[in-house]
Amino acid sequence: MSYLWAAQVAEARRAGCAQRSALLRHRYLTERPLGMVMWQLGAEPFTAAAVAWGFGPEQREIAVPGEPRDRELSFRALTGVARSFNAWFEGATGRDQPPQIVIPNRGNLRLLDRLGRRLAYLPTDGETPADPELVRFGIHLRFLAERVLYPGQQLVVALTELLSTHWITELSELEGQSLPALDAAIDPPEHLTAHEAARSAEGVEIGPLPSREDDERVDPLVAAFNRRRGRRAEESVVAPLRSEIEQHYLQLVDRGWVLLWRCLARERAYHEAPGVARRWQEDVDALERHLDWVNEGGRYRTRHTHARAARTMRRWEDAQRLLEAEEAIDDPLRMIPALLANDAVQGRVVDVDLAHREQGPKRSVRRPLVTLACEERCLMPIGKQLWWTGTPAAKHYTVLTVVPAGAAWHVTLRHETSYAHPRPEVGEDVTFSIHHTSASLPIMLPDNPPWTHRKQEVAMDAIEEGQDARGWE
Amino acid sequence: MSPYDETVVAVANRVVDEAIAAALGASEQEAVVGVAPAGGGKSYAIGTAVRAARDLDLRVAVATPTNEQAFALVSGIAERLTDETVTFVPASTVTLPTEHRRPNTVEREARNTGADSILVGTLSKLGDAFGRGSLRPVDLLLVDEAYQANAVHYYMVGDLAPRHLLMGDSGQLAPFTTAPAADRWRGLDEDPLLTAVEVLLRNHPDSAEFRLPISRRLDPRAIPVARTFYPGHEFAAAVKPGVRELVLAGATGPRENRFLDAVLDHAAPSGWAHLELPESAVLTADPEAIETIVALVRRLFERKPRVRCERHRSWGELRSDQVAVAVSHNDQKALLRMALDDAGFQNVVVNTANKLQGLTFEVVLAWHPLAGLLEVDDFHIDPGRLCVMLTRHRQACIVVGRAADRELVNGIPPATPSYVGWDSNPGLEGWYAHESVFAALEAHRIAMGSSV
Repeated sequence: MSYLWAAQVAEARRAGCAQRSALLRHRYLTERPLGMVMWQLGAEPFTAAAVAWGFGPEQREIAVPGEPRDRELSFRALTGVARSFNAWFEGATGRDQPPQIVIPNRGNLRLLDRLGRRLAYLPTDGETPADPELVRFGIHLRFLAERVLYPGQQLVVALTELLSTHWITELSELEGQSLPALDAAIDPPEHLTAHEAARSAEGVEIGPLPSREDDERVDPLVAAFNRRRGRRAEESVVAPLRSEIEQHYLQLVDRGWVLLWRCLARERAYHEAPGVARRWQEDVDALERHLDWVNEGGRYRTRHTHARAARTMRRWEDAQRLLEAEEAIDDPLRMIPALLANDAVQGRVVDVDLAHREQGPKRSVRRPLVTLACEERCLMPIGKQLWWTGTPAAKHYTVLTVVPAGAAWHVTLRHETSYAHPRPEVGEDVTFSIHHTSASLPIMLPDNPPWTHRKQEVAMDAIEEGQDARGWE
Repeated sequence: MSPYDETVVAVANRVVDEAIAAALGASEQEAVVGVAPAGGGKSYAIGTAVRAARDLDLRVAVATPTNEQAFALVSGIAERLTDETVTFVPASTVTLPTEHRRPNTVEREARNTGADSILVGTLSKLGDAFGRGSLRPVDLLLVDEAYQANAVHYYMVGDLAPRHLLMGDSGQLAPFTTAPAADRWRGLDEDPLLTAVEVLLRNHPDSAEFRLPISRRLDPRAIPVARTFYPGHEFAAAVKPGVRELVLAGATGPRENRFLDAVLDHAAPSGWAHLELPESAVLTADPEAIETIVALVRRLFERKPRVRCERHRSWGELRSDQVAVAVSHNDQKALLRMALDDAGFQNVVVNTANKLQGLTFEVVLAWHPLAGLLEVDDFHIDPGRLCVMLTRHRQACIVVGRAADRELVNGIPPATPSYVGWDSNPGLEGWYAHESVFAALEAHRIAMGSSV
């Protein structure tokens, strides 16, 4: 919990409206993302009872299998989704931007993940072959579900996450998972406070898990559908029988559909932070690697090797550090928690000593000094490493002294490099912080696991690194 | 008369000898685990193991998670094995501090250590050098603080030696990551956040385990609280009751010191005091807690504290660098540092639990992790953090919290995530550890505002 967050929650309460936690928008939003809203059947987490997809509030398609527990009906409906999704996602339909998917909440994310797991490994031959489109759809969903764990990724935007990283409301984390409540707290109707608006909106369910009432309404419809179709599954038979179920889900889907595009439009109006572009490029690169891999017929392992898990975790740690650093450097409001936690210092440069030299291990070396005057007492420990926000990828500075100077405090930092380098100038107002964007050292991992990481009795050859490397990643 | 409980010490020495014999006698691709409670003398046992391995003319590497731990091992081993040379293998930005250099220590890059017999370095450095082929394998690898080492560190050094001896303290803070989705692999063999010990036991369940039944740092008064953190692990203090003593000069001066004196006069003989500030919801760097801790330190030294123990049998003054304040957060540390400096206590150590792991002090003031919280979370409930705070002291520990803290772990524990294939549940274990510690400290509770 940062102090700023606590203060802003209190302010949200006092003012009766949500507070921005960022001056800028820290996520990339494409011009024409794909919106998706899904519903599952009550206690059937691996089903899609309805999938809606489209590129705007007026552009919506929907697939409803009628009986999602029936493999044939379910896969047929999903194949429809898969065809349009794959064509767009793989770029066959000539999209002019890399694909971005917008969904209302984490629940939809988890359902996409589960559907991916169900579809990606289906056999495409044998007695009941699955449509290859369906399998590819599953593989794409697996890729996206894994990508979502990458800090700062923007290929999939869950709106509840987008809103809660940019707004501070009185809602608890659990309450903030309701997009209607969050939206109402951010943009309450004129006569209501954020609190009142959120309270009345949180009863609106937008899926994917249905409320008891919604499930009780659909249950007799599905029962009647099954009774009338007997065991038939042909499209010509079932299509006319499922219109009531379709009507039911259309109504449910539209609750979320309108909300989704409205929230998206509101966030798009904020200026994009400069660091967003680098992260988007990273996403696009990851996407292209994925598409190339799938085009070559590659599949994904269900389990990581030790080395791969280790490298993935290291990449996530780096991505998380870069995300926090870029947001703080881009956005003064995002730097405040660092300032309050003594992880950053702000002041006016009063002295720059470029000629300062110190005795190194072998000879004397040039180590420029920069001195700031701060209005408040600086609690930065001596020896702490800081980076100037002007050059966050360059060599760090070290806090050398913190001394009182009249009403102010003078903080002297030593730049740990002698190279000619952009440095702050006297009179400039500057920020030094723990945030930096330099690359971390690579980890040296042998491809073959050491004996400590191999099972004593069972050889785990099947998933060891290095074998059959062409076919699997 | 010996200040030590000779039976306890003898049993512990036998366990250490057995563990070392098992490691030296292990067949290829076998490891031995030695688990010690806080202050169990792990590092000393490592030194004993190095001695035994050298007597068999084996080439040995000693690896630890952090540089500071490696420095301490270099000087510790060099002092005990004066006829051997101890080689510190430094990372590129690190050099062995002067205070850890000895006549028989050298510092050498990995590629020049081919002829050296005792190598000490961090797991990352030794693993990196080995992975690049610049470090020749050794006969025996000793890992200290193996419960702090994660699976990735251990992966890097796994093939460095065919036999391992892992020493660790199971009560300390577990490996952590800043990556938000790190439970991605929980329950799976490839989980990078498993400890080195967990990895070994998952893959080699037959590995011999030895539990050191001793704490050399803690004295008998501290053992009941410390046991809370080591379920199923019996241990006793090496020193006899009453050997360690902290005495304060008579309380004189203004009445407002009465409360502080009551706390100190309770802690000095009993080894514990649990000071409770009035109930209040506060931010992490609670000014009242800071004020109270600084006042306690000031009053402690006003009372001219003297100590004696098994090592220094005659009375000596308690020095300010023998006192530490343990906190949970860096901003608590920053503000406390400033306040203590202003009060003239530059030498009193202030640090977070993570940084205090492995260190010893005479008196510790522990800022309770739950102090003034509105609800518990994974970070604050972590039993490792509380364990580190409450097991650093040789004489006395004063816990500073707020009156409602104990209510945070009353009743039914919250739902915590669980993972198939992973039996630990830090949230739940922390809940119960906190509950038992509050109960164990009940007799030492002194509430501010109560009549004392």
